[in-house]
Amino acid sequence: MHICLKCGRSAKSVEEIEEGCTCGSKVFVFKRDEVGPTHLKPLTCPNAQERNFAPEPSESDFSNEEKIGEVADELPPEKNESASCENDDSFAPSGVASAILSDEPLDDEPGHDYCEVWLSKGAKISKIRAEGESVEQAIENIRQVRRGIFEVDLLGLKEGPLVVRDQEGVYYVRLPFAHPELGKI
Amino acid sequence: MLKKILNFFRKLLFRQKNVKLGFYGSTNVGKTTLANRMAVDLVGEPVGQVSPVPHETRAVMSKERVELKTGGYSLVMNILDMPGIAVKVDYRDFMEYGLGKKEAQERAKEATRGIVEAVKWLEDVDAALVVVDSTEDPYNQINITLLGNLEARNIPFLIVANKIDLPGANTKRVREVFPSYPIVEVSAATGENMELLYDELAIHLL
Repeated sequence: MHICLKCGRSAKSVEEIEEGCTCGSKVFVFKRDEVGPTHLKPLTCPNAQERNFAPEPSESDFSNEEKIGEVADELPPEKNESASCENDDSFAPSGVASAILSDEPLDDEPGHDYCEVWLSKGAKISKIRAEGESVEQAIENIRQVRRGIFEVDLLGLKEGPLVVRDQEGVYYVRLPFAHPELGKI
Repeated sequence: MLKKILNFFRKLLFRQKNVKLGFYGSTNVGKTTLANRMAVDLVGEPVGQVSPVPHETRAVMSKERVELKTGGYSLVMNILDMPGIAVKVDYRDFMEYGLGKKEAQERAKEATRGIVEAVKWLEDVDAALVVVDSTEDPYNQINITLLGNLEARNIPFLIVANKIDLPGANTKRVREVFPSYPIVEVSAATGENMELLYDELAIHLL
């Protein structure tokens, strides 16, 4: 099934995915309905502000999420689908939201959905930075947590050069390119 | 005639301007040495600390209201010594200079943050000195990207071919690589040709 990255609500039809979620977001990620052990913390009910961390959706975002969802091999099982949220019956807790709210490190065991966590952790970093809560004050937009597993700062990608942290103390910087004939960056 | 009139008004407008002059370039090309030389020459105080270890300058260092008087005009500058630009920062490079692993990793992080800050400052500088090491091939991604960005933003700049006092200096190569840009050959370490640099600054910024 496809779940909204912003509120965690599952889409009931293809049309709904195309038109967007009732919360206004058009960003969906694919999640398989699979039962098994959970790697993520149970979801606690986020307040409205916490749920408003997702970047503004765009057409390109939507297609990317779709593509990523389609190529996902195996996804993390969820146990917290039944958690509820005050004054909002439509809010369905998801693995994505759990990952966003959780401080647990990423799990790279077989069976974990890297694509889903990749997106969700990226959103989490963005949220923390936006609220100035970051203790570490990370400078990178993309961080390799384990081999093949990346955290992405979705919002941070809009500011400054692209910085990739390959490992602790090793950074790659992509300088913004501009050429007078091509105009400003 | 029209050009002269325009230049007159341009000079008039810029007379009182406090120009933010950014010192850009790769690591260890002598940006801080040059900034110190200018600051000491013009106001008697250095800007920052110099070191053979790459990324010694990991934050933007400034010296404000540095006044350059030439030809009856006065150019007031804020010297902004930028961290050295690099496309890769690896803590292991710092360990070669005797730093412990943790310290080296922290330095790498600070250095990367410095690069980000330097790039962001491109939005705010009024003019720039792009410092290159005359003993090295200046045709690299960093210099090309810097010059492209400065040109695209219409920020006036000078290329400073530094370290001409060293045996391997090849300023001819710098001029061949950047034939259409203004280039000044100096040695920030010895002070050679600094007067020439000040004259060029006045020509391009006044």
